[in-house]
Amino acid sequence: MIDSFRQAFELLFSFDKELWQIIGVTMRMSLLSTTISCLIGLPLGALLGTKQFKGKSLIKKTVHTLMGLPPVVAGLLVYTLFTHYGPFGSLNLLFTVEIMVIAQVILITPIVIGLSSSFIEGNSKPVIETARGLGLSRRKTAMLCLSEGRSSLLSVVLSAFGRSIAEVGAVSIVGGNIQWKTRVMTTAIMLETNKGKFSFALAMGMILLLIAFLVNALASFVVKEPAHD
Amino acid sequence: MIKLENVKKRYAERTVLDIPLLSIAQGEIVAFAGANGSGKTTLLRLLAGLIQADEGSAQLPAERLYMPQQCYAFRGDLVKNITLGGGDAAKARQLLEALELSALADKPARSLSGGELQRLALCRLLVRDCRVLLLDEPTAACDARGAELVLHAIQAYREAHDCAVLMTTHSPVLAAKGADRLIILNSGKPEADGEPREVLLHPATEWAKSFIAGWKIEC
Amino acid sequence: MKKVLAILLAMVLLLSFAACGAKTEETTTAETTTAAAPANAVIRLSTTTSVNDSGLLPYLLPTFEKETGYKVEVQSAGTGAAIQKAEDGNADVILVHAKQSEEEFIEKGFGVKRLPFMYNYFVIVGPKDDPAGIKDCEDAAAAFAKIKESGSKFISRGDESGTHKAELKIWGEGNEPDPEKDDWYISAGKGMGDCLTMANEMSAYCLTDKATFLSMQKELSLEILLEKGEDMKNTYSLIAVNPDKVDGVNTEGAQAFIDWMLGDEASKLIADYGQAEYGVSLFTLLENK
Repeated sequence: MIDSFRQAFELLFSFDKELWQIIGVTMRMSLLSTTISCLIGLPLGALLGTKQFKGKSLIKKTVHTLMGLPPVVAGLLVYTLFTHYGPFGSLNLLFTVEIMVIAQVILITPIVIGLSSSFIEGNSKPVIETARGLGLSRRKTAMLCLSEGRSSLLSVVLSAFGRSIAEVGAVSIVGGNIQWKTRVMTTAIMLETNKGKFSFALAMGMILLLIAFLVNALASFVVKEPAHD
Repeated sequence: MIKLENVKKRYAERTVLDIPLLSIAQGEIVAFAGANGSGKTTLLRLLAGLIQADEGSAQLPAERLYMPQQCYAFRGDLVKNITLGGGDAAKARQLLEALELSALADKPARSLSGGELQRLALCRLLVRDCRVLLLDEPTAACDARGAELVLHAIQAYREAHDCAVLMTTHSPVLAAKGADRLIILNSGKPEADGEPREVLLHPATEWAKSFIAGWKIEC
Repeated sequence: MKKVLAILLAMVLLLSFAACGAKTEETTTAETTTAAAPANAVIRLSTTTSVNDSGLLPYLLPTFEKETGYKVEVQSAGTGAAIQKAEDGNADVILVHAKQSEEEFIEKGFGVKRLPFMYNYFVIVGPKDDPAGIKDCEDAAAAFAKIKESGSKFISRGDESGTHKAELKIWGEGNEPDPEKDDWYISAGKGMGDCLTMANEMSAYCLTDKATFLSMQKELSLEILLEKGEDMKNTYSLIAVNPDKVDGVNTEGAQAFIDWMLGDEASKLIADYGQAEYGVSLFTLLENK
């Protein structure tokens, strides 16, 4: 353990070119998949959380089931679609960062929809009631809901990011863990583990946690809560 | 000014509102009373346009403002809370003064007590112009002093705008002192309707009589 | 300050769980035992994927277990991890194929003696049309030179496994391609099966053990383009873990397993392995083992 801590520090401050390249790919992938998942998932979550319509409970059940989709299955699904002889094989996307993002979006969007809809359902009623009572437009009402619930929504976004950055099953299958190209922190950790360099792998794990921690800290700094909350 | 005819609203097979005829004149302050589940809130929400009637017709002016029973404090200070639906800050401060909240004007709204928050929520409506005020239990969380301030503010607004005010209440004092007219709802139907003291002292039906008897004891 | 401590403590806990998780690998236990069980009946064998996933161990072990009463728990991983597990005290005997790592293992005192006992040849597989034209090459080094020259894609294991080390040796020291700059050289950092799948997707060349390739051949459109070059020989060794260096080693069990593996019956079984399914032997016994 202590050895791993020491290695983690040494690794970080050695400014190893490959490590920083891996961190770069990891961040690019995680930020892209989180952004896209939220762009798709938050509006759908809001819709599901505020509107009543036929088939809603079926959709909710589906979303909740997909929240538990095993990453490997998502990876296999995307692999089958984009394999050379598959329906989208001609796009030549297999073993690229783009396809890793696609697989992660499939994995993460249900989480964003599920979490945000239950949050909005639970917390936005008084906001909506008050805003509509004041005759505010739907757009203004939606903006108020977003702004009032921003700390909870932030935790939805961060959950998505956490899942993305820590996920290994899907990205390993579709990305291929190619050095200097599609290798991310998690697949690099897997590789070091397979090499038998357990303490080095653990050091990489610590760096991954550190990155996740910094992103969380940065995010809560940006969406700052007033002191009285 | 407001006219409802044969308005019915049902939830899950249960009729929660059934009003054969109800008209309210300009400048009138009407209090609605009734047991829990008698349809008071449903009536206000329907008039506010938040829900639609299943049957019947309703005529009413477009400029309506509604204050829900559960008051919500938005982020930011009191002035920001009041003006978020429109209206200017100077007017907001005048209202805070009238409702004895001006000392808290620049404090975050989420630090208010329940009674203070209710007065703040009322300011959100009063800072703007409208023809109909719809208030769901505007004094429920207030102490005696607070309730009095609320009533004065409502009456002052009525004088200034010549608007109709519809409010629900569980307080006979508020009904008697603050309203021009009291309507008692029983299972979604108006059971008694008239000048508040008249309704309270001489209930029209047996049911109204027993309701008022119980009501007074509660207070 | 308290908060910071709490966070640190939580992180340490999490990491220690992660560390435990990393070391639990797939273990398979054969069940049939008819001979009387020895005092310490469990032998922990740490080996590489190529002997386990190719089916050789599942094919040999039931006979061994039936005859001796031992149970063999097989942990399979890349050569690097297989050796590391033995150094961490999680194995009694190892079966691997990376001469240099094996010698280091013994030099450090973890292993008793390196016992090379069988070999096979790596093969170079690639797309049927063989764009680099390696089919008639003398050996792997010549083929690699042609692949490099033509800039055809090549998938490297890149995981410090026995196969990866053999590949690097063929390139020759100082002559290894640079995965950062050489676009055609893809360092996959994955197991043999995944690398073959990737080579198939990308129409690339790949150095592989024959057993794994044959077991996957049906799903691949790759072909064996070169085999049996002298530099493609792949020797497997057994090494008992040194009980003087590592605690809790089942020395008797390890010795019994080694004796049996080097004996006549196992030799016959190994020589026959692959004939039924592929019509070729996948492993050859060393003459002077």
